[in-house]
Amino acid sequence: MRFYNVATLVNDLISAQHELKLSRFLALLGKHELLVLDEFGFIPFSRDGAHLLFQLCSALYERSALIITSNLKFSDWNSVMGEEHLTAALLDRLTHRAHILEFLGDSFRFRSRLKQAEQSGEEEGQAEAF
Amino acid sequence: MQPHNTLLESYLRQLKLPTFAQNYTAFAQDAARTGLSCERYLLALSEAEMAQRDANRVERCISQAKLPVLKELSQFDWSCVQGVSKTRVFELAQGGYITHSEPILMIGNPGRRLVSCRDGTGSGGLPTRATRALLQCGDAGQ
Repeated sequence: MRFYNVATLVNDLISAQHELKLSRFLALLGKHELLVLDEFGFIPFSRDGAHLLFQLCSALYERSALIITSNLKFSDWNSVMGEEHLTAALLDRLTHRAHILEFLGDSFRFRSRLKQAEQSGEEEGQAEAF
Repeated sequence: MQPHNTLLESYLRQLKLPTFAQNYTAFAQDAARTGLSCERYLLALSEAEMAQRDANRVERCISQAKLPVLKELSQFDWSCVQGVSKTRVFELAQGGYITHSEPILMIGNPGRRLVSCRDGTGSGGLPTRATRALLQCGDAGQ
C-alpha cells in the first residue's frame, strides 16, 4: 500500500516522464495492492499531468485497489482534469465497481477549533470569577 | 549458558527464527511445568514466530505506505460525519475491495474524510493480509 497526495504524485509522474523512467515508475506503482490518492481537486493539473494521471488510473483499473479522496463532486472533476473526454473516461473507469462514500457535515478541524474556543472561554470566565 | 544452547541459538539465527531464539528457553520451562508434549511445544514456538513476523510485516507495510498520520478507525469521531454508514466503512476495512481491486471514492470537504483505518477489532488492528491495507485518506481527525 502507498499513500500519495495526488498533486505530489502527478509531479512525480511528470518528472519520471522527463527522465524517461515513466514505464518503470508506473510498473512500481502497479506493484502496490492499494494506492491512496489524497486531495484530488485542490490543485488543477497541467495537460500532461492530467494525461499521466489518467494513464496511471487506466493501468491500475481492475489490477490494484485505489482510494481517492476529493472535495469535488464528480460533475466538477473536469475543472481539475481540464478535458471533458478525459474526465469522462477517468470517471468511467473509477466509478465502475466503485464504493462511493460521500461525507457530509462540518470539518473535524473546524469543530475541534470551536470546541477549544469554547473551553478556553469557559476557563477565562472561571478565572474572571475568581 | 551450555554449549548446545549457544549452538542452537546460532542455528536459529542462521535459519532466521529470532522469536524461536528469544523464547525457546522460557517456552521449554513452561512446557516442562505444564507437561506439554514436544509437538505442542514446537507448535507454541512456531505460533509465536508467526505472530511476530505478522506484526513486523504490518509495521513494515505501514512504514512503506508513507502515511502522513496513523490513526485507528476506533479513534474516528463518527459524530462529525453524516451520510456514511459506520457498518459499511467497517466492512470495507476488512479489505475485500483490495482482493477484488475495486476503487473507493471518498467525496467531501476537507476535514471530514476518514484518516486511517485499521479495522479496530482489537486483535492488533490488522489480523489478515487484506485488512492490513490501511485506508489513510485525507485529514480528518488530526
